[in-house]
Amino acid sequence: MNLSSGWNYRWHVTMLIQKRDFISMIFGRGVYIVLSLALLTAVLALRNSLSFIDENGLFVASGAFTFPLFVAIFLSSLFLALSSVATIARERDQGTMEALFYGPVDSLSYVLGKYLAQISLYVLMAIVYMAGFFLYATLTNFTFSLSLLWVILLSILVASDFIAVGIFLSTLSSKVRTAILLFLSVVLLFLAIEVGQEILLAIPVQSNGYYNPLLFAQNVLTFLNQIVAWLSPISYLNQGIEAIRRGHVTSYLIIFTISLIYTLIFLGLSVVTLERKGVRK
Amino acid sequence: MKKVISGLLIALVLSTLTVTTILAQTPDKQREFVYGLSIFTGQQYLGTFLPPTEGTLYMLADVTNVVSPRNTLVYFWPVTNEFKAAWDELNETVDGTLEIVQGGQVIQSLDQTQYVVQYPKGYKGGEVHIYSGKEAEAQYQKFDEARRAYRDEVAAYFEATAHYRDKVEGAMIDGSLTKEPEPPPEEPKPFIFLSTNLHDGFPITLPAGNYSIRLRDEDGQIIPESERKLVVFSFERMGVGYGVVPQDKWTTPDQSDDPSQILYARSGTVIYLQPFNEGEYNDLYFARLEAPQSTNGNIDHYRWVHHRPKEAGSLEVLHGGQVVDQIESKPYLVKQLPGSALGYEVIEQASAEDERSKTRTPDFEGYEIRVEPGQPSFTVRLLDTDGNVIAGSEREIRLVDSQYSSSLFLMPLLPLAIGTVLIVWRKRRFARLPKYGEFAGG
Repeated sequence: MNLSSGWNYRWHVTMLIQKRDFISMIFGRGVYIVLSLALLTAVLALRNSLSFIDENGLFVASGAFTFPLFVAIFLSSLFLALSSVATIARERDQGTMEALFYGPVDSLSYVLGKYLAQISLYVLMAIVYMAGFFLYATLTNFTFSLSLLWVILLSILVASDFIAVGIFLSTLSSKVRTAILLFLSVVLLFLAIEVGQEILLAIPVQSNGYYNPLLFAQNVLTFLNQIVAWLSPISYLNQGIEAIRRGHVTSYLIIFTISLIYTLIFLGLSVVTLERKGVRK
Repeated sequence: MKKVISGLLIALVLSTLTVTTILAQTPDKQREFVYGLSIFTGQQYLGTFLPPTEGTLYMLADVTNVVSPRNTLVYFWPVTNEFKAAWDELNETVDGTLEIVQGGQVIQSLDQTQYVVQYPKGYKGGEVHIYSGKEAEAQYQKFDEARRAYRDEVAAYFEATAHYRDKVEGAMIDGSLTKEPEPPPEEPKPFIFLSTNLHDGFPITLPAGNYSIRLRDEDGQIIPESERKLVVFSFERMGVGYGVVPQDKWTTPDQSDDPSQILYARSGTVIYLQPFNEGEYNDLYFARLEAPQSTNGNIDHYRWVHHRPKEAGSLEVLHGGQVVDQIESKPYLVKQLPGSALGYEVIEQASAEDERSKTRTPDFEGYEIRVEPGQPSFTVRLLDTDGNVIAGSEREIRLVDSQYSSSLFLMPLLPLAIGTVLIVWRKRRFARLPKYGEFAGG
């Protein structure tokens, strides 16, 4: 077998794993529940805006769909990352992974196959969100702006980052529960730091040197947030939305590139970890 | 005996209260070196100070700001959690030369001079000037003369009014008033010219960048506590913001700062747009500029800050890219409706019935926009006095439709329905396959 046909063969295996996982998720309940929840959030947000306009006559906003889209991206990414954490750890736990690796599957094709299954499902979900939001916009006359498409494009990479982290954490652990707890802990920690900083900075505390505990907490969270800004996919999404709002194409492209590199790093780490740790339970 | 004990107890309680009160009202004051500040916010000058605890001073680029080295009494005020200066107890100018340092090099050495800040049309009039040196003295002199002239006008008005009243009353008493009396003396126009007193300080005008400042005393020695970092920053973007005044809630106007913002309105809404020049600044820098002791502000965020009202020509209304209307800015009056029910109406000043309403200061000015049914969306943009479109002034206005708001709930059910159909279909499909035992058994 020459090198080219070796890669073709690996790609074929990758696509088989992708197809198997994709179909498995399409026939699962989770994806439909997440889609419904995200669309329901959008409806609640829009109805809230409509009620406000009915009552006050006027509502000034940058994008009526920015918040619903943010929620949709977060829910979908979390769901897909969790499902990749669960499937890989479960397959290892149940010995399926070992059986696959006796065949033509190797670490790279396995990790890539898992990743492509999740990301292709995300693209499908994103199309549903766009269709849903477009319908909402048509019915209510809220703007369905071009900037939403830029957010959606970036969101594919954000979801990709989530999935890559999920896959990486699942390769570290052999138990489903441990892998899920590890993943959720990381996500919650990032969220707590980001949201915590926003909340604390909004509290109007005046300076009293470093003796003020609130000021100390603000400084600590600001420092941690600078680190999280590089590690959290949600932070990339926030920065991307801000770049789109301000029309900063360069910033958008930088965030886009960093997100891509982020995914590649974690997928690479997943392959290495799987090679080192082995596929046995 | 009881009386004695009661008396002692009351005395004890009162003395405790007295001590507590005294402690609460006398914070510990320390003599400190501080910088008094007159900082330009884009709209007006803000008077504040930089206590010793704050190591960095923030100011806008390419405009004049003033720092004034002072010795004063500084105390911590726990109610607002900030340091305050007891200027009325000690306000001592510290003489010397202010050095501005960048990259280790002294780039400017400034001498202290007098300065004055003036608002010829009042705080909200949009015009602000800062003068220093001899010009400050001359401009303050002008202000003082204008103030004296106004005082004389007011005195003359009161005198004329008293004379007029006596004359009319006299005519009424002696019966010589047979026709409408002549109009009363005209009230002088309000004096809105504002000015600070002459103060000492160092006017600083710098381009954006990171600097440090320090004060060298008359002996040529640097006063150690005078060394502070100086962050001079500029706007990220300039634009046109709008104050959006809804007709039925004119006391609570909204704002549209970002050109990407859309004004969603219900049918029949009338709004008045008030354009402002605005700049977008780093959130943290601007928060520290406004309040040097503040811990608010996020270095990753940006905020729009309204500067002065925008002097412009017409407001163009566009439908599908075609100009369909031009609106002029007009003065409006808010008229309380008679009767027990609370309410008011907004009327154009020119259409007011009485002469006094036509000449008084209007309640607000703006471009009136009516959101009529049948116009799902349109765009407005501002023209300058030469008729050119002002960049960044475009705003889209959309008429929202809430008649289908309940139907929106059907959409989230759709994925659930599709999912259920798919899952049931798959289960049935696999249910039709022969089971292993059945197949093997033939």
